[in-house]
Amino acid sequence: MQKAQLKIIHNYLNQFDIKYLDLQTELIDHFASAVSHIQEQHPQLTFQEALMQAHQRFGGKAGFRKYLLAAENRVEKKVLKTLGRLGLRLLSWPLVLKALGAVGLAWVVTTYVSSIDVLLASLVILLVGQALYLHWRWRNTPYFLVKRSLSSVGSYFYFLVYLPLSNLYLFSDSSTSSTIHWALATLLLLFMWVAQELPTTLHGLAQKEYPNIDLRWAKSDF
Amino acid sequence: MLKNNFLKGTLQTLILRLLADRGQMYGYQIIKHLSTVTQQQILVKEAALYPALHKLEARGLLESEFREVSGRQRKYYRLSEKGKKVARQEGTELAQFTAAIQQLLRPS
Repeated sequence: MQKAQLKIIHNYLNQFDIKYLDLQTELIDHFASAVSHIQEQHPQLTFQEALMQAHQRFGGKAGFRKYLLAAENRVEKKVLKTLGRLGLRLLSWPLVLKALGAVGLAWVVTTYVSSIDVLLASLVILLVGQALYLHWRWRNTPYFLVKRSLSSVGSYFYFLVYLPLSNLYLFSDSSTSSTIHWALATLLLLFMWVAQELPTTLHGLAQKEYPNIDLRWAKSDF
Repeated sequence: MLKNNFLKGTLQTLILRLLADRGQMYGYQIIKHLSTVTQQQILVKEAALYPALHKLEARGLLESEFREVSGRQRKYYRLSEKGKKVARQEGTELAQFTAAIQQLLRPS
């Protein structure tokens, strides 16, 4: 198959939101094989007509939705697994020192910053800054796994950190509130470390899975 | 062509058995092989095959590698050691299941 035809398949997949390397590479080969096979059977068909037939056999738009949904579920599981692994790594040497550092830093911060509002505002600014940085740093990633992890981090933050701690904070009394502030700051600092490491780790995983991939596939001007 | 409902619970086992027999294959090849061998009785939905392959890979039953073929990357799948064991086990279970179904369908 000619490169120009592969480019047409590449652009066609882009239309259905299949634009990342880890989603697209296998399908480019699938559609190229399918088109070649259809044209062998029906030589009178043009490339475009054969591509349309291959599109129908794949299930059309619904087929792509199914494929994307399955990919999202698979990637989400991988992200959650990696998040858990990174969290557990904080308990192992030498990262346990980093975790203890976060605990110490949180203690210092909560001791010297007496106003919980100032503390929370600072942490929120830090978190927003980190989120913006991560989106900027990985804006051109060719991997869906990495891109998806960035959007997942926000929901994990909400469910794993914000919800439990805000409830804890709400039901704490004055005798336990300083401990709660400390726990809150510690958890946020540790979460920030995990969120920082997550895309890098996933990028490494994706590269391992797609080691010989020619990165031209990821560019629209291929 | 058989109804897709029959395939739902067996697709992963069929893939494992196929790879156990043929060594390594790529996605489109699996679809074509299943369709040819079963004389088009089993037509796997293409959008269902790839998620099934990826699930098996995530379970550690398949290994994969990319190779360049005709200017594009092709992903080849093969059974892992764990996959070989599961293919044998699930293949036997599927054979027992179909034998039991045949018993049930046999006119008394």
